[in-house]
Amino acid sequence: MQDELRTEIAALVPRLRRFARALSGSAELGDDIVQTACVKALSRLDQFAPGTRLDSWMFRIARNAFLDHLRLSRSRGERAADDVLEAWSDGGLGARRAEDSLTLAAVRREMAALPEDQRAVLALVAIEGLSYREVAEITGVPIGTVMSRLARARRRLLQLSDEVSA
Amino acid sequence: MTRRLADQEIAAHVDGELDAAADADVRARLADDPAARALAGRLRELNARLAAAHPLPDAGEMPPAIAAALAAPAPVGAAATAGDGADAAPGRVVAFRQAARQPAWLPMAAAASVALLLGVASGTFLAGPADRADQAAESAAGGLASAGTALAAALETLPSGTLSADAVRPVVTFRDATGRPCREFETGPGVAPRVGIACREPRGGWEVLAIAAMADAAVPADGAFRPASGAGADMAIEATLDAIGAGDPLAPEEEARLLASGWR
Repeated sequence: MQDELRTEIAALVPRLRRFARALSGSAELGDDIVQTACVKALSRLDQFAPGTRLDSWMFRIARNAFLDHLRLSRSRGERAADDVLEAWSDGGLGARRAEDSLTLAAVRREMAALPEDQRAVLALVAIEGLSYREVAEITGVPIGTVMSRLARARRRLLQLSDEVSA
Repeated sequence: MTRRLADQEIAAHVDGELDAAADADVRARLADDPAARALAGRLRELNARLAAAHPLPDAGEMPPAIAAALAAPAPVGAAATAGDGADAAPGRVVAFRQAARQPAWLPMAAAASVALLLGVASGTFLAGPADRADQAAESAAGGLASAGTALAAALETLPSGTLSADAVRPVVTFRDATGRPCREFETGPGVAPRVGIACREPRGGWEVLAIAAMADAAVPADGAFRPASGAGADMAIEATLDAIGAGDPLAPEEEARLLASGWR
């Protein structure tokens, strides 16, 4: 039973890495988050409810690991949002944002600038393709909150896109 | 059919959230609503750009640290796996003290990606006079007993953010799940840069729960420490904070009160 779960968790690693990278804005930090999440998950396999979705469970653990990271950054007086932005820094290219508005780096940078709660919901819906209900369970908020966070995140990204085109 | 489509209905349609009947209804109304159609198109495009900007990593490119975490033996709740850690995962090192009240995943973390430092595991460092030269000399060799003396003195007396003469800086004070005061600290400059967690024993002294080498730490010949990336050290410390149920940082006034009262 536990060995099967371990194998299934291993199979989820690519998706977990993608999610953690989108969430943290950094491939390196994202992998550290996934590593921490795997360690935590394997230590509490008895808490996983058979018949429920393992991917949702793992996404929730990974997201909590990232929130722990943010909490610690704040307790050290760092500005976590700046860290995330810095991770996608392109050495001044942002000043010429219009030129790279359609590049994928710009998409990542704009996503990194969103508040964390919006970023998590957007990543799970738009990138991971999860249902609103699954995202509500992962993030521990009602579905209505998922929808409003999603809407705010998209409004912001579309607005940035409009500003660039204007 | 006169009601305008709400943005959230359009989003739900684009995200495939609607059942067949509701989706058919939205489709019908989209046909009559150019603005709604345009929004649906933009949302689809945004989804596609977000997905393209975040490609799925290749399953064959598993980072070694993650592979090691997954391959670690099941937690057994004992410290016996300490010696195995050094070979398991290059690049990530931290020393954990394993306390009985901590969750069982800590020993596994040790086997997966960290090297236990048994000197720490056995030690509660009592506050005492700082042995500065000794600490500086031994820090690179993992001489935590003497480092602990200077460490305990700094933890006992210094407000967070203050650098001691022995290059120990308490970073933040909080309480664990049992209410015990704990502090995160850093070392350096001038000695090996480390970050750690220690908690105040009720009868005096500081119990070091975790200490992680930050990037560029000296590597001793006995292999007790290896350099960990800054982010790796952070994650190890965070895992410890999580394990002990660390609360929010105490306000400066509360910390000052504890410092003044001898941590009562």
